[in-house]
Amino acid sequence: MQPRRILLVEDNPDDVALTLRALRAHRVANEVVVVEDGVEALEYLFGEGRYAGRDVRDLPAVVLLDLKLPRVDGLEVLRRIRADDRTRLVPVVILTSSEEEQDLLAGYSLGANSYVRKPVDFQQFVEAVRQLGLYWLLLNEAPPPPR
Amino acid sequence: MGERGRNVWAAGPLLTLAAAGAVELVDRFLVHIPTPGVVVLLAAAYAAYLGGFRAGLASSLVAVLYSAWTLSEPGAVFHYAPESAVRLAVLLAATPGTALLVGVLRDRLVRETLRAAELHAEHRRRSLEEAFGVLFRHNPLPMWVYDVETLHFLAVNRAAVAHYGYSEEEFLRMRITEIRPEEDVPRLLEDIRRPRPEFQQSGVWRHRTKDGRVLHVEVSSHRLEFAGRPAVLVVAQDVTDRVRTEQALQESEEMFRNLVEHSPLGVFVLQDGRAVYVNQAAAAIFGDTVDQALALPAVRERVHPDDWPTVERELGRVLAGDAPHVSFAARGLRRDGTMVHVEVHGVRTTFRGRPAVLGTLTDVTARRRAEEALRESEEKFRSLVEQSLVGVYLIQDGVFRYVNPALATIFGYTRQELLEGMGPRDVTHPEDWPLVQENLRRRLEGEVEAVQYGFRGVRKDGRVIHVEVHGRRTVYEGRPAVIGTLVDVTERKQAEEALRALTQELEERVQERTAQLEAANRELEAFSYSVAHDLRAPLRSIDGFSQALLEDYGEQLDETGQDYLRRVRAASQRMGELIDDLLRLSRVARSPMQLQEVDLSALVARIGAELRQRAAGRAVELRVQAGVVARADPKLLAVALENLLDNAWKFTAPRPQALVEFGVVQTEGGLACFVRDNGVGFDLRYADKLFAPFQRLHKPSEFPGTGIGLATVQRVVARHGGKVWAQAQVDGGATFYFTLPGLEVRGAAETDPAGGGQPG
Repeated sequence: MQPRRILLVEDNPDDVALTLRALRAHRVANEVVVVEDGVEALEYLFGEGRYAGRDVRDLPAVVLLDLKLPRVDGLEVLRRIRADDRTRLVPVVILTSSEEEQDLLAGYSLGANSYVRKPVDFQQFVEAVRQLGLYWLLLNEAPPPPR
Repeated sequence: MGERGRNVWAAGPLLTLAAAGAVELVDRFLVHIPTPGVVVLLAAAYAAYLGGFRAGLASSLVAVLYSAWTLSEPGAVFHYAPESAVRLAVLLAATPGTALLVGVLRDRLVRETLRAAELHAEHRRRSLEEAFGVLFRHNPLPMWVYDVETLHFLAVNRAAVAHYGYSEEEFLRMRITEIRPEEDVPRLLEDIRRPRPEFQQSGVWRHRTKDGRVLHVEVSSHRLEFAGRPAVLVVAQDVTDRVRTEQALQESEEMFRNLVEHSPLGVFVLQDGRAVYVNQAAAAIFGDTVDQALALPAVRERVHPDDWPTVERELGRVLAGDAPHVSFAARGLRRDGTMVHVEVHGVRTTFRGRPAVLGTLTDVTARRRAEEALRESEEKFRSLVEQSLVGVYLIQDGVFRYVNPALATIFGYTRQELLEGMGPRDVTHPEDWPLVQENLRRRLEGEVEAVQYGFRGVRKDGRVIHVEVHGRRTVYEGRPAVIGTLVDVTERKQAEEALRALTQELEERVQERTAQLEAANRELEAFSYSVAHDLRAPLRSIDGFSQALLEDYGEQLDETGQDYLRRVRAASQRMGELIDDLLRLSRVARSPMQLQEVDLSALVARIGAELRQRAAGRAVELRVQAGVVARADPKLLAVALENLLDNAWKFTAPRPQALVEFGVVQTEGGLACFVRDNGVGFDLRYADKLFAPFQRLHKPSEFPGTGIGLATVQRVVARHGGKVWAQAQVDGGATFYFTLPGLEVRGAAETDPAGGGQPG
C-alpha cells in the first residue's frame, strides 16, 4: 500500500525547508506534498485546477496548515475542508506563530484537530499526532545514514 | 208712711212756734192771763201732731179762731168766769176731737191713694220681670244664676247650654265648680267667699265644656235674690279667640324682643337727638350699659365731631322722609374716649306717636383696621412691583390689565400703550404664539396653577428678544386672570447659545481626536500583530537554520564556529522572548476585564507549585496567608502574580535558604497584598524605573529577564484601580505591595507583617 501523503500548506520557503527537515530528521517517511497557498491547497484536496483528475478519495494522512497564506487564508481553507463531506474527517493541524495566536484560535470552534507552534517542534508535533490517533499513519524509515 | 211721720215731726215745732206767737198776741189782749191760751195752743199742737200737718193745722186754726172768738172779745178783759170755764172745756174737748176726726179722714184718703200706687207698681214690676226673663233666656251670651251657698246652678240660659254642651237639666244638677278646670277651683272658691258688691266684673276665667275644651271667658256677676235665696247672676263672654290672639301676639313680641335684645347687631331708636331705645349690643359698641346709653342727654356725645355733620344730615334725611332708609359709616367715641368705626342703617319709624329713627349699628373697627393693614401691605407690594427690575403683568381677556414699568421697558413700549388694549399676542413672536396661548389657557382653565417657560418676544422696534415667564392663575375683579413675572433672558440665551456651540465644537474635536486615537490604537494593535507574526518568521529561519547547521554540519566547524552559531541561536531566541513578552503586555492592557471573586491565596500556592517544579533543586520556602480574596479578573491577576513570584524565585537564587512570603497587611493606602522575598534586593534610588517596560536593575548576566514583568504587574493592578509599590534594600530583600478592590481576609488567618525579602 502506498503510504498516505502529508499535505503541508505553507508559503514561507524557510518554514517549508525547516518543516521538511524536521520530519526527515525524525524519520517520517510519508510523502509530503507542499502547496504554497490556500487556493492550491483546495485544488489539491478537491481535485481541481492544477490537480484536476486527482483521485480525491486519496485523502492526506494529515494537513499541516499555516494560517497566513496568500489569496485564501488558512481559516478559510479549514472552513472549506470541514464543509465538504469528502474532506470533513481529514485531520488538520494548525501551524501558529505564537502562543497568543493559539489561545485566540482555541476560542473559536473551527474544527481544527490540534495546534503546533512553528518552527515545528517535533516533540509537540508527535504529541499532537498521538492525541489525534494518527501515529500509525506516519511511516517511520530507518535513520538516514550519517553524512 | 214714714215720710208722712217726718212731715208731722217737722210741723210740730213750727206749730209750737206759731202757737207761741199766737199766745203773745193773745197776751197783749188778755194781760197776765196766759194759762188758758197756752193750754189751747198746746192742745192745738197736739192735734196737729195727731191729725197731720195740713189736717192738724186746719183743725188747730179752727180751734184757735174759735177760742179767740170766745175768749177775747174786743176790749174785754179775761175774767175767770163759769161760762168761760165752759167754753174752755168745750174748746179743750173740741180741738182734739176735730183733730182726731180730721186725722181719721185723712188716713183713709192716704191709704187709698197708696194702694192705687202699689197696684200700678206691681203691674210694672211684672212686665219688667217678663222682659228680663226673655232677655235672660234669649241672650246670646251664656248666663246663669247660681246659689251662693250651695253653688248649684239655679238657672241657665240657652246660650250657656249651647256653649258648654250640657243640657239645662244637667246644668241644674251641677255646681259651678264643675265647669272649671280642677286647678282653678280653689281660686274660684276664694273669690266667692270674698265680700262682693252688687255687681262686679270678675275678669277672665277658664271654663271647661262638657267635651273637655277649655274656654277663656270674661265673667261679670250680679248679686240678687232668687227664689228667696241669695244668688248670683253670671254673664260669661267667651274670649278664647281673643286670649289666644293676645298670647300669640305676646309670644311673637317676646321673640322679637329677645331677638333684638340679644342680637349681636346693635339696635337703637332715636328721637329728638336722644336714644329712646338701645339693645345691649348697641350700648356695648360705645362702652355703655343700656341704662347709661338711655341716660345720655344727646347721642352727639358718642359721635366723632368730624362725623357729626354726616350723622345729623343722614338721620335728618330719614326723619324728614327724604329717604326711605339710609346707610352710612361714621366714627364714634366710646365712653373711655377711644374711637370706634361703625356702620349705621336707619329707617323711619314712629315711637310714642312721634317720628323716630330705628336703626342698626355694626362695629367695623376690626374690619377697618384689617382693611387699612391690607391697604398698607398692598401699597408696599405695589411699590415693590413698580420698582422691580423684573417685568410684572396681569392678563385678563387677552389684554394686559396691569404691567409694571420694567415690563414696558423690556418690550420698548410705554405702559400707557400696553394698557390701552394691547395683549400678550402683540409682544409674542408669531411662531411662539401657540405655545404662549396654550400656557395662558392652561392656567386660566385651572389645568395648572403655575407655569414657567420661555419664549421669544417682539419689541416695539421689531427686535426679537428671549423672555422667561413665571406665571400663575389668579382671580382679578372676580374673574380668572393670569399674573406673572417676566425676565428678559436674551443675553443669557445668547451666552448659552455660544456656550452650547463651543461645547459642541469641543465635543466634535474630542470625537475627532478620539477617532484619531482609536485609529492610532488600531494601527498599533495591527503593528503589534505584525511584530508578533512577521518578525517571528525571519527569527524562526535564523534560529531554525542555525540549529540545522549545528546539527547537520556541526562537525565541519571548529569550536569557535559552533560557538558563534550557538550565540546566533541564543540571540534569536531572546528576541523571540522579547516579542512574546511585549505581546503579553499589550494583551494585559487590551483584554476585557471580567471581575469576580478570586482566592489569591490559592492562586499563589498554585503558581508557587509550578515554579517549584520548574526550579527543581532550589530550596525555597513559600509562606502563604490563607483566605485572601479580592474582586478581580482571575487571568490578569494570575499574570501579575506569576511575574511577582517569578521575580522572587529568580532573585533569591543566590540564597541557600530562600523565603518567599505572600499575605495582606494594613498600610497607609489601606489593606494591601504583599509579596516578600529574602533575595538580593535593589537600590531604592532606582525604584522609579522599576515599573517601566524594558527597565532592568540587574545585569542580564546576573539575572535573566526582559524588563517587562513589573511593567505588566503595574498595568494589571492599575486596571483594577489599585496601586503597586515596592520596598527594598540592596542585599536586604524586597517587598512588593499592591492594592485591589474588595480585598479582604476570610477566616482567622494571621498575618506576618515582619519579614525580609528580596525581589527583582
